[in-house]
Amino acid sequence: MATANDDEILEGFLCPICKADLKSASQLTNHFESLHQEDQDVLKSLKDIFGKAKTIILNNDNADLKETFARALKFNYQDYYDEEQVIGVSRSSTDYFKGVRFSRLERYATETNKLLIRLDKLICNMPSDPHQRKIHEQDAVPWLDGSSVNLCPNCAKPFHLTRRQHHCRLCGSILCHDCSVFLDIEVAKTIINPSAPKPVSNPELKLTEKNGLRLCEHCYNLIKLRKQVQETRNTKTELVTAYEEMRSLMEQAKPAVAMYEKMCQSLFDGETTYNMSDVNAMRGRIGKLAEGIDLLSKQIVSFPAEPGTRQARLQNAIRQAAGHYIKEDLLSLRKLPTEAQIEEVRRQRYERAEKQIQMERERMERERQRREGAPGAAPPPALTPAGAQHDDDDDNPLLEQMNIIRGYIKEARQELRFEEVAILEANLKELKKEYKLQKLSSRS
Amino acid sequence: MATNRTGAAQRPNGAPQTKVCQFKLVLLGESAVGKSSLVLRFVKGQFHEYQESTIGAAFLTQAIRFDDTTVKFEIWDTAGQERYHSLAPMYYRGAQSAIVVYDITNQDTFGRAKNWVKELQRQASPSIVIALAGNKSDLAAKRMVEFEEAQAYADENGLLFMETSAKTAMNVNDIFLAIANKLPKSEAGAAGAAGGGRRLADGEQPRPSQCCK
Repeated sequence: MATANDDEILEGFLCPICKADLKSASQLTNHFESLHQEDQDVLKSLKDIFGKAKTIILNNDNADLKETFARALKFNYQDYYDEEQVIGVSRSSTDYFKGVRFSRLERYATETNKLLIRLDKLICNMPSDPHQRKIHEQDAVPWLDGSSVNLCPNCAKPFHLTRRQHHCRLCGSILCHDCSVFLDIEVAKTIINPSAPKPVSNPELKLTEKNGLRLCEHCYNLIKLRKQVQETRNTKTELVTAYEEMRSLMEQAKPAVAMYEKMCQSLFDGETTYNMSDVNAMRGRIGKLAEGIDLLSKQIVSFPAEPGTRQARLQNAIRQAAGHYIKEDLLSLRKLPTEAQIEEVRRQRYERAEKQIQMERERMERERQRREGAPGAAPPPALTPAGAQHDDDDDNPLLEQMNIIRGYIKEARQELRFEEVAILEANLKELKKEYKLQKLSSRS
Repeated sequence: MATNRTGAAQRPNGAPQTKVCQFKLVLLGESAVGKSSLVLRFVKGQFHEYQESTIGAAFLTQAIRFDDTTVKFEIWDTAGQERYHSLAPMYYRGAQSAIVVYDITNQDTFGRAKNWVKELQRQASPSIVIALAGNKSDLAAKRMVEFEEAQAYADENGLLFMETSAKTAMNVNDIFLAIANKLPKSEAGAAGAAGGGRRLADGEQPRPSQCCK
């Protein structure tokens, strides 16, 4: 007889796999999940896959195989292809990269900076006398003691009477003449002080002890590298300059267009603030700006760039943007009214004004008659300024002022400052009105 | 005729031709419907009027002789109390058969049984053999669940169905026998039983990783 069913009935929080009693529900769940869950499922599914593969291989069942592939493919494309994949767990390695990069850069940067400080010391107040200069150089950078050095550390050739020991002026190390490189003192000055005037490079000029600093190759390379970095940082490429120029033209075009719109509107309204010629001049100016922008963008796109690179794409984009800007903003200007139209508008306006004046006069007339009809009414006050007594005189301050303003308008017009013109014209109009009133009151 | 000699051939030493099939069976159902009593009656032939409530789960084995095969049941009698519900999946996972028990004098337990059946159909092995047992048939006077209703439900869901009584031993052996009868007793079935894991149907092949194509 078996033991289990006779003697004992296991009861409690039993693990279904190993039948251990775990004492509590939570312990059982933990135990089961940590120890049995995975291996059970994974093992089983692996077994199934391998079992299937085995039968397929052993039976060489092509049909089955094909079907499996077909199913796999179908599901690749139909079920999953459209689904956007969510980015899974990701980790940023930027900090690590920065750390590695920083330490590498640091190695060069500190060394280069040290050399630059020494270079600064050397270049500043360098005595022209060779002897004095040597003392100055050794003061800035201590030279290595060469008494025990028999071979050039760089080329391993022995030093003797004709191959003399030399010292790198920046690190003080020993080298022979063949291994040393000269740095132009003028160039060195620009490295120390980037704003210093650029020396005219003269490649024929042989650099010697006199006009150059003797350096070892290592120091020279570091300094040269720094100089290149400086140059690329400070110089603008042709493309950038052209682009900046183009932008500045666009900036200029913006207020010009706004002004033109205003002038056009004023013409259409029949105002006399601006002349036809003014507006035409403004139009010409905008046209010139557009031309300039077009030219620059053409220049930009014609800069050599490998097709398909980012630079080529950028150049094309600038050209397109410029073309679009010109088409949309500069060439879509409002058509000017013809002279006849302007005349018509002005005439209408004039008539309207005349009519108004007429009505005003009639009203005044009626009022006067009424007042006359009513005895005792005070006569209309005739307050005339003293200056109005001798009107038409040239020394009337109003006339004088008007003349001055006319002069200003002329000037402003010549310089295409149309905003000023508008203000001055308004001013002039007010003066004219004042003058007319004065005249009227003096006559009556 | 298949004979049921309780615990007759635990080891097939005496009968060299006898095949041994091992099956995992799990009992599910509301608390106090008589799961433990049913098992106790089947395994030991005993009945306790005041059977204590099961804690966690109980494990028993019983073998029955079945023509030339010996079917060994590993029976997991789970606790019916609601607080142990979360443990149930552990036990019915990989089970080849399940008996869902309800109390014929209590309509609620029948509803709960239906829920168990549903859960098994969804989460257990697709080839699981499920039997529905309406227990306490000796209390037919207080019956609240009609036989026909349960039978109809069982037919609808492809379940084995019997009304049992652990007290009178009515249909107890029969229901286990019926399950043994329905289980596959081929080598493959036995192997599957030994593996104890979930059988993956063809339709649910593990999908290949879509990460790198």
